Amino acid sequence: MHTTEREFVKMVLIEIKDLHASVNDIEILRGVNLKINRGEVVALLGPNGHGKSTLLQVIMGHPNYKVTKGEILYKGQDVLAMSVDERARAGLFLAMQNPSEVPGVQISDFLRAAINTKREKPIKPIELFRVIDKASKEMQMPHDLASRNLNEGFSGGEKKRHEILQMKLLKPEFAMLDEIDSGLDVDGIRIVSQQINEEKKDKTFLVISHYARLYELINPTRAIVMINGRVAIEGGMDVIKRIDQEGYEWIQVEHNINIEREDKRPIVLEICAVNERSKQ
Amino acid sequence: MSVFKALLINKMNINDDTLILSENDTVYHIFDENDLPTSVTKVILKSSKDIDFVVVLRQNKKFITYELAPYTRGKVMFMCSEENLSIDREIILLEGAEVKLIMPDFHNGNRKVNIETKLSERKARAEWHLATYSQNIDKKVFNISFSHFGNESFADMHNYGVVLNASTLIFTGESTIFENVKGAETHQTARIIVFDENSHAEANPILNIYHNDVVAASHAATVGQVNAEHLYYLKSRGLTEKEAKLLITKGYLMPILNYIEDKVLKENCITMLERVL
Repeated sequence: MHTTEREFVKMVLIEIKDLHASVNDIEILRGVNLKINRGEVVALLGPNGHGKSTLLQVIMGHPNYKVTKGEILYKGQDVLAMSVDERARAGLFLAMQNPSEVPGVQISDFLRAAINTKREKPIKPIELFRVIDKASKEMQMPHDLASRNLNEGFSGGEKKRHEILQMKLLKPEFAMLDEIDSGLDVDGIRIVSQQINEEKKDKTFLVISHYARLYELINPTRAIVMINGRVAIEGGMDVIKRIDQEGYEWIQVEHNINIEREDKRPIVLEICAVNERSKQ
Repeated sequence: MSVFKALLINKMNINDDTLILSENDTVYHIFDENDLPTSVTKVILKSSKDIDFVVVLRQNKKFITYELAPYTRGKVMFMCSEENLSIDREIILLEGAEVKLIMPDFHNGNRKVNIETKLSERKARAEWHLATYSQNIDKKVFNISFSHFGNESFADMHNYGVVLNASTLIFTGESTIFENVKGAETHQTARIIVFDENSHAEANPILNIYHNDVVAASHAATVGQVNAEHLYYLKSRGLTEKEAKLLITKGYLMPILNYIEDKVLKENCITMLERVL
């Protein structure tokens, strides 16, 4: 019994239990339960506004999201007790949907600092140059990447490729990709999926996408669908294909789940201060 | 080794209260205001080549005017040292003069710096770039103004600052386009990052437009803390809060170094900045 338990702990990489989270007092996650095993590639689908990105941001620790209940365990560690940088150093990585443009910060300075967080001895300049150069070639990014500012003036596709480039260099164990295929052209999707397939050997993935195309290329082990802030159904490529062809309506019918529409969410009406003053 | 040499003032160049510097003196020369004879209050820069001139501002000097002769082009950099500085300076641009004015101030000490640039004649063009920080209990006040007297004159002002500890940093930018001045264009941007609770920062943009035939006039001013999204992005890659703030601050103040080509001057600025950060 004891041995079985230990093997089980070894196998599960991340476990989310009854997770509730809100932003601006609006509850987005309403009891997420999810276990992801080491080596899995999990596809995360769901209608817009039902909590997919929120889940990823909460796992990474975005300061705008407030966790009101539940827990996240990563290799048995309490993730919610860790700061954002501690989570990253522990092996979590989030390729963001809209990566920030940080003015003035040179990519070489940024990557050096990020790579050094996982090393005892700081990386030597020549080695840094080599690894950036190699990764830029693999991602087919411009050769002057290192001297450019962090995401500043990047096209949508360049930003996404740069996220994957960082994932390659920072070598996380658990990589979350939030709509990595949006903004990518055909070549971009091919390059990114190729890199994901290469990295699958030593990483676990949780991937959000609206399109079956990316999933067909990276071949996920499992698909989960989030509806109304919870994991509603699980399945395989068949679920992804059906959603791609039919949308989400069938889930409502077959699984008896009422899909709340985004526009049904409460709208806060506020008063225009200028107009109010002119009335007086 | 720096290509810049100390300027030796030749008495032959002095005419009453005016020092006239030409080609050989204005390219790759550092001029220390302490070396200026007390009778001199005006320095004329005149060159057919692009000038690249550095002025070391000094406290113990009275009002000094720097004048750029017609069609003189290039760059003038103002340097401070580790001493308190309270100065009034005037820069005059004559017809077609075009200059980048650069002021990286990465030293401690108090400042009360008033610099007025007069675009006196037509097609005079100036860009101003200031990057500075204040820390401990220092108080730094920069009043930078551009006065457009010449038609089709152009000015673009950028003031960037970082405030730490219980220090104060105030930027006042004043751009004035006077009556009867046609086709002028003026812009100003001021940005300050505030790091600590006791820090004090102000950005006061002022635009005075007295003529309706203006190409464009704009101002932008922001005073705030480090952008939370930027901080989150860097931290999500493993950087601690301190490392992330350091990188953002460097990124905020360092771009001014793009205007400095000389390796030694550039390295000095980087060393000064890193010492603080």
